[in-house]
Parts: sequence; C-alpha cells; structure tokens
Amino acid sequence: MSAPLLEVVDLVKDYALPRPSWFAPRPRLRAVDGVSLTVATGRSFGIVGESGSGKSTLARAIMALESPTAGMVRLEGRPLFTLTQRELRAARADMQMIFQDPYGSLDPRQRVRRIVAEPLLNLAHVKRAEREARVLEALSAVGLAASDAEKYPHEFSGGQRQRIAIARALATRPKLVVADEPVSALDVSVQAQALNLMSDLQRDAGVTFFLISHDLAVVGYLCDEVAVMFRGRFVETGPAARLLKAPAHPYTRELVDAAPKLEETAIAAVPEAPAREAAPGGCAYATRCRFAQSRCFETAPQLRALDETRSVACHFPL
Amino acid sequence: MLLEVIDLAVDLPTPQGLRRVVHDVSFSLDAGESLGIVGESGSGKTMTALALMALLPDGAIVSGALRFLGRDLVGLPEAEMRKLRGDQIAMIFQEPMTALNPIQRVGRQVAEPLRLHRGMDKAAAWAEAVRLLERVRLREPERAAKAYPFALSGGERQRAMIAMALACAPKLLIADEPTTALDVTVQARILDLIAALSAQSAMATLLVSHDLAVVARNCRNVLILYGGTVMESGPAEAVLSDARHPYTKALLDARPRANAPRGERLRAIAGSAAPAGANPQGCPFAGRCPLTLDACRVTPLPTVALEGGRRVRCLRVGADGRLT
Repeated sequence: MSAPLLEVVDLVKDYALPRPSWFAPRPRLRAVDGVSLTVATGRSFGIVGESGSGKSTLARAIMALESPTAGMVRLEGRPLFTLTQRELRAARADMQMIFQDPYGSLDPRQRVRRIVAEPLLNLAHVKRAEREARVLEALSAVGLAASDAEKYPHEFSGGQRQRIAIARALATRPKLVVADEPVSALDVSVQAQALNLMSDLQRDAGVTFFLISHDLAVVGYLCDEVAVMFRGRFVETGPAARLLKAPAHPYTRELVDAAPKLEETAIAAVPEAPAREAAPGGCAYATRCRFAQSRCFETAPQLRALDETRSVACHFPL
Repeated sequence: MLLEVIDLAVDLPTPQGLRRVVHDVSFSLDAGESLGIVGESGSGKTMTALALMALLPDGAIVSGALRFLGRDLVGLPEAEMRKLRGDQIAMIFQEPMTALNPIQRVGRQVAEPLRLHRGMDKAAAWAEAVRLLERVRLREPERAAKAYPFALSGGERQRAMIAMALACAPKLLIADEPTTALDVTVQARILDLIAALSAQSAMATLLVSHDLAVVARNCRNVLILYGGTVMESGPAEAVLSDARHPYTKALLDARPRANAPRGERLRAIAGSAAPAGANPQGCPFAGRCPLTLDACRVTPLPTVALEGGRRVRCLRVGADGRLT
C-alpha cells in the first residue's frame, strides 16, 4: 500500500513568550499540542476551531514554514523536516498554500504573470517556455483570461484576486493545497464562485485541500474529513457530514449551535458557561462545558475511537 | 416614531468629483425595534449608519431627511449633534481594538460619556462604569475597568464597547458589523447580549452586517442594500424565507447549505459586487441579474409595496409580488 498524501504524527509547536522580567525564564506557549492526522489523496481535510486554537500554526508546520518542537510531517512518506533546503524546495512543488487576505498576499508591484510564475522559479526542471505555458494553464483553470497575465493586482476585485492566489497555488500542479480561510475575506456573492472553483479543482485537477476555516458550512461543503481543534488539540475528528450533523464533543456542539442559520430566526439564547477554575490536569474545555462533571477537572480525556471513522476526546461524549 | 429616514442620499467627494454612494434610502424604526441593514462591500450600509451619526468623511453631502424624535438631523450644527452622539444615539464598531483608546483604562473610557453628558464627577462615573461592565456580563468588572484594552480578549473588548455605548441609556444603538471579527461562539453571546439589553430598555437597534444569518437571528425587520440603493425590505422572517427581489434570491441561493449533497455546485452570482453609485439611472444589480431587461439599465427603480409591510424595488416584480 502506498503512503498517504499527508501524515502528521504527534506534532507539537511551542512559542517562547517575552520574559516577564529581566532574569525570568521565557514562558512557553504550546500552540499545537500533540496533533496526529492522515490525509488520503482526494479526501479533503478541514480544520475548524476558534482563534488561538492553533489551526494556522498547524497549517504553517505542514507547509514547513515553521519547524515544530516535536513530531513529524510526511508528504507521500517523505519526512519534511529531515530534507535539505534543496530537497524541501523541490517538495514544495507538491504542496502550495492559499492565504486569507487576497489583498496582502499578492505583491502589488508585480504583474499577474510574475506572481503566478513565482513558485515555478524554484523548480530548476521547469524551463522558461514551460513556465509560460503553466501560468496560462493555471489562469485558465481559475477562469481568468490570458490577457489578465499582464495586469497588476489592483486592477482586480477581491474575488478575482483570490482567483490569482489560487492560480499561483496551482502553477506547480500540487497534490496538496493548504488553504487558510480562503473565502472569509470575500463578499457573500463572490464566495460561491471561489468555493465552486475549489470544488471543481478537487474533482478535475485531483487537488486535495487541507482547509482551515471558522465557517462550518464552508468546511462541510468542501471537505470529506473534519477535525475540530481546541487549545492546540483535536477534540473530535470524523467524516464531515456526520460530525456536523451529530457532534459527539460538547465543543463541536457549541460551534454548531452558535453558527447563525437562516432557517432559524430568533433561536434560543446560547447559555453562558458557568465560571469555574480550570484544573491543570483536566480537560481544557471543562471550564466552558455545559456537561462537565468532576472527572473532567481531574483528568484530561485522550482522543479515542468512537466508531470506525470517528474519534472524540471527551469522557462523556454526547 | 423614533427614527424616520426619508430619501437619504450621500455624495462623497472623489478626485473625479462627487460620487453618490447612497441614494433613495428610506426606512423607519420605532422604540425597541430592531432593523438589520444587509449589504456587501460598497453597498452603502456603513455610509448610511455614519450619516445618522453625522460622522461621514469631510466634504460629504447628505440630502433627504433623517428625523430622530421628530427633529431633522440633516444640517444640524455640530454642537447640537455632539449632544446627541453618545447620549441619545450610540454606535459600536467592528474592531473594538481600533475604536478604543489603547492608552486609557477601559473604565475611564466607559465613564467618559457619563462625565460629558451627565456631568458626573470622576468617582461617580467610575462606579457607574463598573456597574455597566457588570451589566454587559464582563467577568470581574472591577478588574476589567482597571485594565487597558490590550489586556482584554476580542469578545471582552466588544463588551466594553457596548458598555460605553449604553452608558447614557441611548434610544438608538447603531452596531456596524459588531461581531465580524469575533469567533462564532463569542458572536452568538454578543448578539444575545445586544438583544437582551435592547429588550430591557426599549432601545432600538440598527444592526449593519454582511451576514444574512446574523440579521435573521437578531432583527425583526431587514433592509437589503446593493450599490447604494435599497433592493428589498420588510419583516426579516418573510423576506429571508420568501425573497422577491432577484438580488436577495441570488444572495440566499449562493450560500453553502449545511446538509447539501457533496459536490453540489453553488449557484454563484456572476461578476463582483457593484460599487456604490454604479448605474445611477437604473438598477445597480442589472449587470449581474439573470432577469435583466434593457429597460432595467435605464429606468429609475420603482418601489412595489406588498402586503405585510414589504417593499421590493425591481422592474420585473409586479404589484402581486410575482415576476412579470
């Protein structure tokens, strides 16, 4: 059996915080705390979680933009962090990233042709003529005209700019595209265009997405598998449709309930969580959990299989 | 009637001359009522809100009437407006970090409108500020009052902003994308808080948002703006469950649904949002609308009044609310 497209094993990432005083040791913040996951080719994977949950740090580690404190990332079986710079550059052809902000992520002084060609410049085997052809191919894949290659980013609307960012990610014909909130900066009427495009690329170009989003509907639309992240850990994983319909972890339930839905006008108020002291050894979510019992404050639950496809880190799954 | 907006128009100065970014906007709001203004970027929703506060950029020209408690705010001297602002009409913004003063303690900022409008002394205003912070359910209100804005989380900062807005018990609260920068779980609590506070004191709320679902959740009435013009208005439940304007319909259809089958294509709207003031003679949506006729580009928008207090502004919608 061939290796999965992406494998993350026990990934940990600590950040050092500023010293509280001159001689004090620098406190550490554990942004990602022992995360493991597997993405199979063609099975797009989504991460949901609130700000500060570590989801963007995880994405950056997968792109080898951050070196982890511990753990491993393998792309098609190759461990990323043991590669030399040269090998890593070549490996990057197989994985590309799309960022949230289509305004900040494109160099305003470069023409679209140059922006889209950028990742190809790292690939020695792609010669000039081939590069030109790939740029046009990528632009046409995202529905932009060949003449757009000569324009500058400011000549495009937000939705079109995100298309340019997607075209840049596609130029190397990657197998994996890591997308960090790819549509949240777009207008509602334009979001659907970008989502349709990503869905087409999944089907026609064989791109597998690793998607980060706070929007459950977006994740449900694009992803086969979902992981819910809270304070650096996965609290629940499973197939998107089932997980979003019947959450097993109280935090997933909270997210699903809190998302405003058109179908329900004036829904019941979300109850405020009781204020409680967190115990260092307990579940990180216990202080906010409506269902917490004394055991939750004493021992932290481990991620364990609920059935063949789903896992949950909760002592009392719903 | 607390607030009556009649044929509001806003012209902004640009290097190419004045540009009309809001036109023909009319609505009214009673005490204790909630109205959601929904629109994409460039729809004129924020300019409408800023016109009410007389906080438009320099050189902006407002026409029409903005009647607040029977008095027209258009052309009101700044000194008079200053008495209303923060007292009778208060506003909260999207990013509380930029709206709060970073080098002043939160309590002092919450107390400021009380010192200014109620003439309270420092100690009394501070005590009242702590009470207000408690009312917006900030944990440990005394600690929060002494803190600087950076020490609070995004949700806590937005609560502090709401406390400041509520200080003088305003009759009208304008909230411009108050929860867009927040996590969904925090968003839900902030929206509930605004709803609860307005119910307690018959305060009217004007919620400006790009998110239809946020408005559906919190507002009785809704106004759909596009390109600076009202497309459709009426009770939120009726408008969002049975939209009549092609733009509202398209907006609702473009949303990914939670339980749609995998791989189902979304019904995207071609093109991108029209800038405010596009196509001033006809309908701003004409360039993207699937039902556009030649006449749509050149005919001034009609207003079709339907039953239940609904209004639709579309050439293709007949008096019975059906497509012609």
